[in-house]
Amino acid sequence: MNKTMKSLLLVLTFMLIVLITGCNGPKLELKTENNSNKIAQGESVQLVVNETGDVTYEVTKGSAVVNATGLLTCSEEAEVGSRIEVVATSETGTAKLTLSVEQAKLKSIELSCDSTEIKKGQKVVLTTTLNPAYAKVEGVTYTVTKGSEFAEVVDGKLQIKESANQAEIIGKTIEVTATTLETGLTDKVELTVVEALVEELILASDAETLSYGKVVNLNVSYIPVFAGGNKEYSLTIVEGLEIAELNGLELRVKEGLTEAEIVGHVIRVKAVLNENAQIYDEIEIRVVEAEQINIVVSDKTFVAGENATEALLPEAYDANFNLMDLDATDFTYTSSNENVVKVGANDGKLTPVGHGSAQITVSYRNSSTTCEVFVIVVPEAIEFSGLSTHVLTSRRYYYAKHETLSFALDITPNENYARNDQNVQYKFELLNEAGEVVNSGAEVATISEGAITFHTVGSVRVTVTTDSSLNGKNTASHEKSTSIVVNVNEGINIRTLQDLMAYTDYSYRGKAANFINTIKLDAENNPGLDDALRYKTLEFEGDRYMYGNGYVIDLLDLPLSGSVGNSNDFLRFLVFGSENTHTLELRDLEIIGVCDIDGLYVGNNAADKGKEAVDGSYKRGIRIGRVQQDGMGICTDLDVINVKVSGFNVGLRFEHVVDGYASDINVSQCASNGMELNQNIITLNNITVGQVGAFAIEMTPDDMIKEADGTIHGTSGLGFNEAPRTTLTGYIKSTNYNNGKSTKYMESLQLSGYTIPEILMMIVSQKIQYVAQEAASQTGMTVEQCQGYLADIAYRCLFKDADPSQSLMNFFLLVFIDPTEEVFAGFTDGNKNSIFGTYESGEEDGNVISIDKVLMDAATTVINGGTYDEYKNYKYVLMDLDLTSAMGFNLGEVLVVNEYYNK
Amino acid sequence: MKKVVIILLLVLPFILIYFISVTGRILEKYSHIYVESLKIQDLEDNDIIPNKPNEIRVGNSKQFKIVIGPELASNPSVLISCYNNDICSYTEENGILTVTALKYGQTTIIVSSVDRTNITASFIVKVIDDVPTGLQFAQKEMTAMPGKTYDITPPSFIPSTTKEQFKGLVWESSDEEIVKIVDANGGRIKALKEGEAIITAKSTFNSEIFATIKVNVTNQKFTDVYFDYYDTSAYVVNDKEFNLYSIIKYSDNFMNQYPEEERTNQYFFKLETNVSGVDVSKLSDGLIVFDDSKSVILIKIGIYMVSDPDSQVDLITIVFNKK
Repeated sequence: MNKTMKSLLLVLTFMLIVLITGCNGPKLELKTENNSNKIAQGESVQLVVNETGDVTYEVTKGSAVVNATGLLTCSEEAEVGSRIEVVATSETGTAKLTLSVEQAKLKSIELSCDSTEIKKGQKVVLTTTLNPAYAKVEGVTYTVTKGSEFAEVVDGKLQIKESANQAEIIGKTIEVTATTLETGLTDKVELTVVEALVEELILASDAETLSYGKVVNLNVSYIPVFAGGNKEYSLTIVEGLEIAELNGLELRVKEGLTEAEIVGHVIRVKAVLNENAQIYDEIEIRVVEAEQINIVVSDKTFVAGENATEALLPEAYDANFNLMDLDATDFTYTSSNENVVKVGANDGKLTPVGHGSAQITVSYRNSSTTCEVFVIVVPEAIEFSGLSTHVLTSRRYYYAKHETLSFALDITPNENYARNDQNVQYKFELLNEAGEVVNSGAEVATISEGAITFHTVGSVRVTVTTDSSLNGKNTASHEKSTSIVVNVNEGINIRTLQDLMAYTDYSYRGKAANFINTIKLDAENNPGLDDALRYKTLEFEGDRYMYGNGYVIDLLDLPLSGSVGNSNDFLRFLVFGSENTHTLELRDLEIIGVCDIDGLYVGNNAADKGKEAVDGSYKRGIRIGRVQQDGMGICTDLDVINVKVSGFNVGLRFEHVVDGYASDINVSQCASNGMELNQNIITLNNITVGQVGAFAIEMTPDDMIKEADGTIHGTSGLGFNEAPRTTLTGYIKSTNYNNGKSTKYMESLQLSGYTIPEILMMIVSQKIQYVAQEAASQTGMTVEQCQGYLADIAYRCLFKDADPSQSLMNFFLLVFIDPTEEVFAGFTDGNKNSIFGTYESGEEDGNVISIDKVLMDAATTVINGGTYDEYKNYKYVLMDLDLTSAMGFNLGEVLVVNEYYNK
Repeated sequence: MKKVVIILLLVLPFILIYFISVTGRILEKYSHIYVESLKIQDLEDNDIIPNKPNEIRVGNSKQFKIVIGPELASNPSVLISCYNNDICSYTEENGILTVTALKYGQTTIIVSSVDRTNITASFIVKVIDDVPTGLQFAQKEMTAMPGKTYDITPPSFIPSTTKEQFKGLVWESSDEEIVKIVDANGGRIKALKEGEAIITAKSTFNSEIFATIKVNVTNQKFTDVYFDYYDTSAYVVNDKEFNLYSIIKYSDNFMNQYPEEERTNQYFFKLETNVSGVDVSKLSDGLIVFDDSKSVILIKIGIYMVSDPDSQVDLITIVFNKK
């Protein structure tokens, strides 16, 4: 078939149809405006008819409505695929239109969300609105199209990623796009990121209960955890403030409460956000009984100033008695008496303050214990006071038994620690001569109210010991003590001149006089000291024991009193009664007279100052012995020990003493000789001579064997027929020189027509030669060398100082022999090599003095390269008394003279 | 002519004055006697001081004579300087130099002539004081139990006259894990675990002066008499009466030395604590009686040897825990 045929056929068909229809006449026709027989859910379509007259429309089937104008609206709920039939009725008839319902079509979507802002932790719901709403959509996807690095959509909700750092994204924009799956419709929405703030506070604790001494640690957290903004909060105890306290986040029970006061209480703590009081949280902590802790700490005895450790060392044991790992600083400490001991509140270090005991309370948590700290403050020293220096030095005190003795004590307090009182303990021991204790306790002496009553005579050692003991603590090793031996005797104690005068009574023979204070011979202290008594000799007969205890009889207040004659001695032990032999013991006494070395008054009476005093005052300080062989007794047992005399014409004179011993004698400031010894058998030991007007010691023996006939004219000994012997031991020290001045006595002195300087010259020169020979033989040096040395030694020893310009007149010491005795002849006749040759009587080695020894020692020193300093001491210790020297010589008389006046 | 004479007479005094002045200067120049030597002489022994330390004790002074040669030198003035005026001070008057020692140390005093500054003399002043030269512990070794704290008796200072101001100590431990120093300036230590540590006490005056003591931290006991108990927990007794002899042990040496009946006479117990509820009246028999109306009583008991009653040889904490 060709094309033309086909077209013709079509036209014919068309024409047929028109013909057929046209044939039916005008007929109501109904159709949709768009001539569709389909309608979508909810869709409205305009129905049209082919007439202009009145037409009514009716939905006869299906879910739709039609209005009078023919607008057919399909119900939104109409079932897809169902049919809607509409009938139009007009005058010309009816027409029916059937439409099939089809799915409504989506036109657009709208994306929305419930907030324009988003913060971390927030989930913003994304909502897509369909247009029309009843349109069906297969699905919508949401995409973060802006800000996807920190935002995401999860389950249709927009949120900030967990990993996002809030601080970095605040203010940023997030764009979310919704896209329909089938139709590809899209919509967008934008949100701004804002800061997430605290929404909720959470207050927590590490324990639900609190006990005394423990700490509950609180914790405050935020929701959201990443919340920014001002997160400050306030923590307060809203309940239980009376028993608990907060320190930061630490909650604890207040100090000082008992278990009963706190156990069972509830502590409520509230945390409130400062920015927003509506945001808060509360917690409840219940107070329960504390765990039992046991503290133990040792007592401490603290001897102030002596302890090495000064801190307490407490230990704490838990409820199972296990040692807790605590240091001393974990405990707290208080002292019950800070006047005794202070304790470091947090370290337990002790600071002793004063004598006594105190309790230290050591606490840990709610447990505590106490220990006792004893602070024993021992004084620095204890010493007797009010006694003479001599008594304190010698530790010996002579005292009469019939009197009680109260010692004053000088207790030197511990300078660093306080103590109000100090007890002392007395101990009494009777000693024998060897110093051994032979008895002690109440049989020896007792003490009552500080007064000691002696129940025996003899040497009683009184020991006073501080008693610092506390609570029975043995403090013996720390105590200080002092002791003194009291020589208890049956004598009397001498306090005044009157006492001493009373002692002159013969009835006191054989008894002791104990000086217990200094006696000043003035009217005030010695009433009755009138002119009649002044310069009265105090004469003692029989056995006498005079113990000065180091005290002084001070005569300086005595005015001069005309001429009292040469025989007036102050203390005279001259006549020893009818018995043949007597004992005298005189010790530890000083007597001060009014003379100076020129015999002028130097006492305290202004009117007498500078006057000639020799004839107006006592002549001798002490005179012992006798002169004449008249059948009277003599002193056969003499001990003069530690006696010091000054200010008289002659200090001390011994005459015809047998078995005498004078030791530690000090004589000075006498107008004539310091000591005079006449016809004694006596030992002198340790004699010190100060400046005197004449010779320090004058010895005048008259027992010489006359060279002419060999007869002995001795006057010593019991029978007045023995040679006097003066044994020198120890030392003789002399400072009897006067720096170039002379005394009146020496200025007028000549011996056998020779001046003293002349005598000295000869002595020294000869002696040097003699000793040089000996020295040469011992040292291997030549005599000349030794002479040179010795000359130098002698010069340096004997001269005041080493200046060669000084003359020989500077001698200040001389061993000198009285020219009136024959021994001196050796010097004058020139036949002998030396006046120091062996004394011809030669009967006693005891009288040997070795000046040689002095010089030899000095020679050795020089030969060995000694210095001037080493031997210049010989200036003062000039006589080293060597009793064994073979080179010795017997001295009839030793005079220690003063530096002689250079005429 | 007359005028000329008058003018000459007027001028003449000035010329004369000038001439005298110039002449004086010339003479002065030629008559100036220069300082040629300067020596320092010790006034005590007249020795010329060589350059060796002159020891002066703190607070004391020593005098030196400045000897200028020749004696008639025109300008004998001297300048004196000291390297360290903190150590000593000095004054000079009429050629006598008085040096006063102020502080421990050594310095040099230099005396130089004003006339010729290159002529000088110097000498060393060594200020001496009672400073420590050594430290010595009474013991070289001690034992300690883990967990226990001890106060070590500080070492004694040598010389014993060392002044308080120089007596500071710093304590160190060679092993803080074994022995910890609790108080760096005191002798308090805490034994932590078994082992050995050397504790050093150093002088703060001079850290080269120190003394050491070895601390053996052990649970063993080495004394002749000791409590047979080694735990750091307290020794718990439940009965009101407790006999200490039940936990006493002796060293072999002690047992060999004393027959059994004599052993208890060699030592004694001592209650170290002040607590109520404990009766120690029979402590010499080793007996402790607790007050059983109390539930817990803690006491410390020490052992002391009769031969050295001041030295504690062992210590135990006993707790009475009534059941």
